[in-house]
Amino acid sequence: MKLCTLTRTISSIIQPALSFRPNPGRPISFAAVSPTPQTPLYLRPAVFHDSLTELKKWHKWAKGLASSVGSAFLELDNGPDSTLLHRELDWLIQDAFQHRSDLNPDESLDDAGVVSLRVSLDDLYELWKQRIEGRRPFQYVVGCEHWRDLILSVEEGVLIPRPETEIIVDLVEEAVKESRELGSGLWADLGTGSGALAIGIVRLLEDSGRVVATDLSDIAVAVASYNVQRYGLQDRVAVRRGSWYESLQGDEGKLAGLVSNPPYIPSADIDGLQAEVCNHEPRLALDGGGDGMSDLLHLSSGAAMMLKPGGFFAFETNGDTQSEFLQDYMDTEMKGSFCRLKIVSDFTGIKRFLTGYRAR
Amino acid sequence: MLDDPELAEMAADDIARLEQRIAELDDELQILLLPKDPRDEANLYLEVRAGTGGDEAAIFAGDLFRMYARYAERRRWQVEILSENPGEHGGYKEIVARVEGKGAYSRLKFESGTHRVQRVPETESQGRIHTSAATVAILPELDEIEAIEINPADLKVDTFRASGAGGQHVNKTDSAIRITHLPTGTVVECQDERSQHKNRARAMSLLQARLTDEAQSKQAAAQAESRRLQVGSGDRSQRIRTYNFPQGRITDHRVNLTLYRLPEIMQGDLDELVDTLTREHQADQLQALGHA
Repeated sequence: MKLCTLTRTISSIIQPALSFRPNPGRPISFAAVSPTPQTPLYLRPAVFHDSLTELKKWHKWAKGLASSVGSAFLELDNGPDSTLLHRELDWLIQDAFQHRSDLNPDESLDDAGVVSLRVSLDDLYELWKQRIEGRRPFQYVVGCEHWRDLILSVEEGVLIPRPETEIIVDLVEEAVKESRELGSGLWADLGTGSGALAIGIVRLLEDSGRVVATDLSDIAVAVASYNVQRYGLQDRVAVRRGSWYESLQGDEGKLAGLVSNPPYIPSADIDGLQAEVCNHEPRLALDGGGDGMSDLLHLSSGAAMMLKPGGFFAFETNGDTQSEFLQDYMDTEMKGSFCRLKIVSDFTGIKRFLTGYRAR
Repeated sequence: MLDDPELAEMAADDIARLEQRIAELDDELQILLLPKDPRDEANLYLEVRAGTGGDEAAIFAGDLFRMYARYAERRRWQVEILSENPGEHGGYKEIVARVEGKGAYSRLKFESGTHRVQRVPETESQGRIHTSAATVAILPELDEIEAIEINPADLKVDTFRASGAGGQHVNKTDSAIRITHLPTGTVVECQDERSQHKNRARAMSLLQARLTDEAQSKQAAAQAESRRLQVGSGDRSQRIRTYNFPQGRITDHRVNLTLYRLPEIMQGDLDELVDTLTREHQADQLQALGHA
């Protein structure tokens, strides 16, 4: 009973936030969105100042809001619980305050002290309200995602890279160690989103190694380019707009490696996902069609044409049945094209990835 | 010249003073000649666990952690919490942190052991004095050369990501990692880094430190050395210190040192304690050299 009441209360609060929910069933158009990427909170100048008293008030309010969630979101749609939200609040402080210790009660700063911030106090209230009442993903709130040892800019319209996907970089590292010729070749990251995989991979390659990162979305192309430049890799990673292999014309049979985390969720499942995902993240990056396999199958067929003999690929899938189906498909339907097909599990034991090599 | 009584007196004074100086310099020299602990400059993992005493022990574990955190702040060291398991009435059942800074290990290496507290707990309504305890472990972070080989096949890695579909289905910032070393049953966790990759790297480093520490404890036990100050790999069950709040005193049982400035020490003013322990440790080493 308690849960029902809370759910209703929360949904009535978030009504205004629903305005930025994409219209289900219609492909999202990014034409209206400014292609200038936002600067992540932690990189903005600390030009706002407010009194410690006011900030302590905000902190108390924010903690109370986080606590009020309890396990309601978790039970509702597998969303975050209070413990997680409290940790996110600490991270918000880490990113928004010039000195995070300013809020530390042990500090000698007296309450009349002035604290330097990267956002205004009003915005701090607004951001935390968006996080909890609007279920806006934390990474969009602070404008970045910590992924491997990278801090990547992310914003609405770009998929937030998941921890599972970090493993693809490990898989590429193994492949490059085993066969050194792969390290000096041309690689592709298809559907790059924030550019996470492209940036993670290019640093494993030799100086002559290059990565082409492609995405259909203008905003993803802008954000990936921003991230590539932040890491000073613009000479080695080319970001191109296009659907899958479209912008790789002329590179047929030349790729040393290919990675992708394509949309793989069956269309019908998307509306049941946690609010952070289904109301805020781009459907374009999630929806894999009726069985979730349409992009993976397209990528597999293209891999035979694009990879050079001995070239390596790694795809992320929805897990278990999808990776098994894909392995079987590439093994039998595309007989002779690939070898050493291997399913790799993620840390929770789900058969998440399929890797293999173009037959020589 | 010796006939001049004034001059003779001056010379006698000089001789006495300089002889004393020789003795002092001799001591200093011996200390300088002592083999330096190669790990003194290392960063370290600080682990504080509540022992017997329920909620009060957890609160005390929190007080101890704060004491070290404040000491670290005075010394301009960085403290980064790796994992925490809060107590129900405050404090921690367990907290693990990494301490990074100049000479961190040399200053904290004598802290390993059981710390006992005597006070009226906040949770006690009758006003009775309770005795509880918390254990502290100080593990030096190893560099890559010292690190022991761990077979990846001996490791079980768990994430706390929601059970279920994972991947694109889930967007949670929980990137905690738990690694179990199957042959020894050693479990390490890291939850406070913002990426799973970093949590994993940190957890592996902590596992290295633990396994090395366990191996060295066994070795030390086998050698049956009866040193007063069990440095680093000491016996965690050894009661090293008592914090008596009603009397405002702190007693280190290993060196029979009692200081009546408990509040300051709890605020991180540990230098007097650490200096005494360091001196006593050096005295032990000198004695051992003398016997050798």
